[in-house]
Amino acid sequence: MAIEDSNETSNWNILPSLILNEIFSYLEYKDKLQASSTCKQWRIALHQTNQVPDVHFQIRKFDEDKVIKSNYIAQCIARKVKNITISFDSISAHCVQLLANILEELSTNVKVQKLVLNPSHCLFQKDQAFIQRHLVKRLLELVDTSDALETLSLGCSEQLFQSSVLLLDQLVKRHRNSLKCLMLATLRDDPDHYELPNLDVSLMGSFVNLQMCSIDYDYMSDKFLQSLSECSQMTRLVIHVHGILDNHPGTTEYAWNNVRQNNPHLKVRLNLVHAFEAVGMFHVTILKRAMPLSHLRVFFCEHLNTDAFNLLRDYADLESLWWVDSSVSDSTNSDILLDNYINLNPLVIAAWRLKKLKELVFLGYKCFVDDVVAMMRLRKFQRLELAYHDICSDVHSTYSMKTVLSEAKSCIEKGEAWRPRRFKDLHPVLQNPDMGDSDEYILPIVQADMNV
Amino acid sequence: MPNIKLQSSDGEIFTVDFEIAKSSVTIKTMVEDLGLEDEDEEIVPLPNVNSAILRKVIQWATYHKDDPPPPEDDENKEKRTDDISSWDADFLKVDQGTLFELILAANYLDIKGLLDVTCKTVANMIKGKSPEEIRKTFNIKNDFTQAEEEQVRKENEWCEEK
Repeated sequence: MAIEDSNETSNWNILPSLILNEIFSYLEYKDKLQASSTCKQWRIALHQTNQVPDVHFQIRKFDEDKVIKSNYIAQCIARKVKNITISFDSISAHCVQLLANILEELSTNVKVQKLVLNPSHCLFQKDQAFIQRHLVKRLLELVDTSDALETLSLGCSEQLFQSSVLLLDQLVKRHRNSLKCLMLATLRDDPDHYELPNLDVSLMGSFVNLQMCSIDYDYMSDKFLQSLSECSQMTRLVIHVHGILDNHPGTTEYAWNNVRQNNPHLKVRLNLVHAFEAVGMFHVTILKRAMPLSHLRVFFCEHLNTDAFNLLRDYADLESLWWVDSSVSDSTNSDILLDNYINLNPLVIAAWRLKKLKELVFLGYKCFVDDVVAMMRLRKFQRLELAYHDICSDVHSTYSMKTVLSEAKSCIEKGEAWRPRRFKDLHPVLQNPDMGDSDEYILPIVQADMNV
Repeated sequence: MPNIKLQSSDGEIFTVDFEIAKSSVTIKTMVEDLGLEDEDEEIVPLPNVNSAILRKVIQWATYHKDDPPPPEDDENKEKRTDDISSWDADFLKVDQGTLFELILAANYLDIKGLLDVTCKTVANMIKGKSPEEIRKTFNIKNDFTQAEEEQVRKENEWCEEK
């Protein structure tokens, strides 16, 4: 385009803001950012548009940039943003303080639809008084202010969950119709001793449009399932198992059948975390035939429950199976279990019988190379994680690691090159329980349970 | 009152069919408020529009005189920019200075259809360009200090972060 006239007559720098807003309204956010980087007046227009992108904070460590950023967001976006995810280093007091600042700004935002907190560890580096005063209070304000909250995730925080009674009350009052996803399940710092707030989970049934929720097994009961039967759009129920209380009422096949009848698309994800006692009996106490189990993940329970494995073949909806422990945890124990495997490895049976199985993560336990080859031939996986050092062979072995590697290409759906994991590439806590914090491994996996 | 006389900022007088001139809400209101409907000789002054631009505006309004009124803005509806008619596209093949004047005139005269199509055209000229390219296209002066520019760069990074 030729510029013919003198530039003095046109001064795009001072285009009236109404017109600029009109022009910006035709632009996608990416182009808006570019355009608003040209001059001051245009920059102001960026902050006047109502269209704000989804924001994902990453408060990983305390640095000046992050402080400026949170101030910036506070000024420009916090009252407009609809969807916000905050990932933060919860064992840094500074990062928790920054989180508090952001929540304070967000607490006056009527437009918030989704708030997801993703702490790095289940405990925060702040005392309960601070959490009450600066986090829970803000969360309550936010729930009260928002016009229509759809998603709230406490990111498995045990401490935030302590205030779940107040939160749930407020949610029922304000967002009975809008709430679609509520994640309240926790990770426990000490899986044997923890406090349980007197939460009335039967209130969950009040959310007529609820699609996803997560809760600790401590709150599971027929009464809870009955309340979920009031909903009709449930697609996912995530249950975290830590311990099983002596007086736990359990659930009945009848209640599960009822929930399924009213929520035909419901799938259940069961996560056992440090459930040292529960892991040995969960197939009797927790698993029900009518449970539409799609994911079973066992993290750091230090026991391979072969009886449970043998039952899994009947769960036709199972898509994902994880059994993960640190490599050096009781290696003698896993050798004994290996003996049970020689005739019929339940993993192979699972790969054969479970047509929907897409994910298999089996780390910290031994597996014969012949069985690995069999699994690879039986099923195409989207995710398959085994470790080199867990794959073993003996004089009876037909195949070798060479076969595994040569067939590795065809066992992953996208045809990407698959390899067993090398020891040094495993998460530190999988290499050695003393080398890392298991929260760092587990949390990102279970926090992703709320993603569609 | 079939015709109306419009006077541009540089004194030129245009005689326009009132039905056409009415597409400008500003002119329509002025005529109605001042009770000029029955006056044939009254001249409506438009001190913010020069003759070159007023001529273009009248040309546009004449071509679009039978258009249905443009729909009200719907905040939730995605706004398209690929629906500019070929006549309008040709009409707006002008230098950025004229485009700028046309937008201001459309805004001042309150002609929604013309404002929409000129803003869309500007949006199309922005799409996919870097800040420097946009400055060049519209001859925008970079009035950020170095520190401000650095701040803008950072803010953009944050906003793009997923």
